[in-house]
Amino acid sequence: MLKLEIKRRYLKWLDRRIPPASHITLDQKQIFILPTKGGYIWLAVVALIFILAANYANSLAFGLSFFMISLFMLSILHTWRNLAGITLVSKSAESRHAGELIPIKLLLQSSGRSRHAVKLGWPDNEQVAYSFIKNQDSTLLVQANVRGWFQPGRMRVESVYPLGFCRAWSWVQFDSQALIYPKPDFSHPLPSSRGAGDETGVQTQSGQDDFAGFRRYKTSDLSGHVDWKGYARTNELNTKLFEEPIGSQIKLSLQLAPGGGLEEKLSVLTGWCLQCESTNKPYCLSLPDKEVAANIGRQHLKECLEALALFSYGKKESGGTHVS
Amino acid sequence: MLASALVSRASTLWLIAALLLVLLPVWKQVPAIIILLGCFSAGWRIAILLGRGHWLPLWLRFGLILIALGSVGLSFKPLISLESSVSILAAGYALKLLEMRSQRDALVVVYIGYFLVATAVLFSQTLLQAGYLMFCLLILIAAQQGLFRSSGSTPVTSSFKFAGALALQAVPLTILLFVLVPRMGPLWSVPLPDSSARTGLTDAMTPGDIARLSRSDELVFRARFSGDVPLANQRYWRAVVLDQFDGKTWKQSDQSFSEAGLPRTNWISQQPEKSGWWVNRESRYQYEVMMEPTGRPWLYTLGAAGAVTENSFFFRTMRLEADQPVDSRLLYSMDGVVPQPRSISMPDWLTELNTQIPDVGNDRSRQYALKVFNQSGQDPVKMAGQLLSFFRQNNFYYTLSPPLYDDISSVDQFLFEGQKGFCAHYAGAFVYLMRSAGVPARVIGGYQGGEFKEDGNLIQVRQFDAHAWAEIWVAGQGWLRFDPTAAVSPQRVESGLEAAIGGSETFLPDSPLSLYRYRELGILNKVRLAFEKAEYQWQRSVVNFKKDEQETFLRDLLGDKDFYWRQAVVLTFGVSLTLLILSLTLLYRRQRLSPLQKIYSRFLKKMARRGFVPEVGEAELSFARRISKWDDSIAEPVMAFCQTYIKAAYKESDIEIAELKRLLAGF
Repeated sequence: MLKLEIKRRYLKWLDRRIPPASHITLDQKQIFILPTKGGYIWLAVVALIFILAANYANSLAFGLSFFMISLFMLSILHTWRNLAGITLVSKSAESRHAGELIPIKLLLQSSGRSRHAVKLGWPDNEQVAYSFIKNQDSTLLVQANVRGWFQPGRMRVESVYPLGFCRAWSWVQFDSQALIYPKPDFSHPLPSSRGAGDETGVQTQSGQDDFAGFRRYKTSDLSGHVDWKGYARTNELNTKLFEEPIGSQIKLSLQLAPGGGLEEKLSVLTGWCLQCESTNKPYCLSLPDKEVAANIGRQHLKECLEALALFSYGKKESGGTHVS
Repeated sequence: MLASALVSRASTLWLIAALLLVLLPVWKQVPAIIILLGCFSAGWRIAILLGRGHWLPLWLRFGLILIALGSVGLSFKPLISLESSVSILAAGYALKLLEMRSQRDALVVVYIGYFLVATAVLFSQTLLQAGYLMFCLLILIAAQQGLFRSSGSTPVTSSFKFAGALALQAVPLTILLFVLVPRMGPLWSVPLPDSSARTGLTDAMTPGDIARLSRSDELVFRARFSGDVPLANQRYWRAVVLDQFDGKTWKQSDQSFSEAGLPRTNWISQQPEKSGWWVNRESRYQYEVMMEPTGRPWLYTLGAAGAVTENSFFFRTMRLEADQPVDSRLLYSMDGVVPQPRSISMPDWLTELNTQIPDVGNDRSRQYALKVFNQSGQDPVKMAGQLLSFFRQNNFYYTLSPPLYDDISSVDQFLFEGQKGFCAHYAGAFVYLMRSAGVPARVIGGYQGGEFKEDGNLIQVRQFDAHAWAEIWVAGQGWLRFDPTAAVSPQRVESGLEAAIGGSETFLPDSPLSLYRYRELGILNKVRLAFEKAEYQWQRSVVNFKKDEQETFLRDLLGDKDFYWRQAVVLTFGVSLTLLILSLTLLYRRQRLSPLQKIYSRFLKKMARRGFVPEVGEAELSFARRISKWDDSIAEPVMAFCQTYIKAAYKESDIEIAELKRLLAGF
């Protein structure tokens, strides 16, 4: 309990100290520095040489131990300096589904000094090290686990250059724009187009008869609506228009979706949306707080997935910030 | 994460180089097998780097460890000594390098390297050694830095440059700590470097021993005079007094005294001056001796000693001995007194000791001695004079490589057959003849001469200055010095060994590269003298800056009152200040901007005052357009400025820069 409380307070403090931003310049406020294990061993070696020098009353051995301790002190400055002044800019992140790797594009600006072996990465994810003189582009792949606005938590920037005695690090957080869709679940078959006892489903029984005319075929049109006979005749590809094209539409709603919890249901809905899209079946989405009218196409899919991603978002706790 | 990272090629190369380099200064102390192991390991790693080798299997590495431990176990008795520890460290470095794959392994290797450098310093602290080890440290720093830079493709030299820069930055702090951090005394006693194998005087002189010393140009001591300097033929540096002769070897008598039932106080004194043995007078020469470690307790004094110096014993043979063997460089000053030539008296037991010769052998010499003694009216001084003329008038020859004389009658053979000898032969035969006639006499071993350095007012004595001469006791006058070698070869005493042997023998045959050999060459000699001067200064002011010297120096500097407080304050303040200056120069060094960049940054400042800040990645022109949209009043000059700026950025010329300045002033 105490540990959790300490961690919570630490994170809160960190949020105040390094607030999320789209570009962050590392300076004394952001950079922490402590000796590494190698650094502590080095200090032990220095102490041993000092004792050796004392026992042999040997001036040069004293000198060596002082030189080594000076190197240690200098390396604090150098390690700090290797991070100080770097500006990290988050450029963009693509929307993906939860459970996938999100490529996050970053720009590192060195602000005039050459940087060595600067390591970036989110905990439990890929870590990359860069040496750069001016600017450095970076694409990091981060696992997204939770739907909603992407919250990868704080990214660690660290460096032990030049001598490995000290580790300078910082935890930076970007205010990100990527939206994470729910993880798709393809294990459930699509609900039938006539609806499962739903009122609107019953009403649309004769919808296909309300033929209204033709228009020029668009790639997003369903193949079932193409006027194949007319095509055979005129060699022109047209799509039949109906007054109410709800006849073959699939209605997806939260109540329909099988699964125990909300997240599972959302996953199933996501899977269905994708399935409908890939099989060119028009679909509409109905969520308690949002309705998306029946349609098909990339834009429609995006709208649906966004609705699913943000459904009752913010009411529950979002993806935990992972800092250690 | 540290463990998993691999070691770059450049770093491996640096570490191989460092291994060979740090082994060099300790190669004499370490068993040959371990040196071979080091070379093998370096070669093997290079083979792996070239893709021709493979990693050694575990059993083989284990076997190598056993070999290394075995060789250490067999080579050192007692096992725990400084040399054995160094050997273990060296073997550890070599073996760890052989199996080094990860960054952590490499770090272990680097740390062992620093340790080896620290132990090398215990064996020698000369200027050359210090410079060489500094070079080793640079290699180690370069290797260490190479471990932590991510790209392996960066040039090898950049690591070395970095190491140099880092070392330079560390220098002020190191000096500050060296001067100010209080030195601890020894915490426990430690095995000292083994100096028994050193060349140097011994307290048993077999003719031929000193001839061996004459082949070495190793430094023995330096004496710095604060006033007058004795003439070359007066520079008799006394070290040992050999008064026991067994027919072959001259020895120093020490322990036999207690056996004879005499109190030890008759022989050794720790008092500054032992009254009753003889009378002292003020010495004309005041000097300070910095002697190199010998592993033996004898101290060098100019002529007979009359008083003790710090931590030393005074012997009745008028020589000094340190209270423990001199295992590290020792500095002592002799500014007291010397014995009066006219001394008081000699007790019978001492007379007996100084007239002892073996009962048998050398009959011809004994008869000859008695004959001369009677011819000179039983006057020891006259007899000595006669003997010197005997050496001078006969065909005696001073040589570094005399023939071997047989054990029982070696003196006879030398005096009447061979007549070729080195100083030890002459001194030994002279004392033997005097003792045969009943005159108390003894052989003195030490050094004669030395090179005078005018700028430091110091005399530098090397091993080839080793010499043996004689003293005889004359009632009412005390011990008088006679140097029979001078009778045979006056040049030896006036101008040193090289002049004495002339062109007939090679001087310093074992050291063809010794700078001392080439003192005739002007430039080389200047280099040598300058170097020796630097070395002396280094030894005196840096190496000899020990606990007491530090305290004296700092008390002079900071004042006696609240000394330790002052020391602490100065130390804290000094270290903080140095670190502050270093961090300011390192962290906030202003970037050097071109004139064009300067103008643009001025432009940015002006815009910032109006509330316009370029977005990240926003180009100059789009920034200018944005400003123009927001603020019509400056739209025109800003656009003009930016267009000129972009033009200038491609072809930087003075005209455009002047134009830019004019434009910038417009808003």
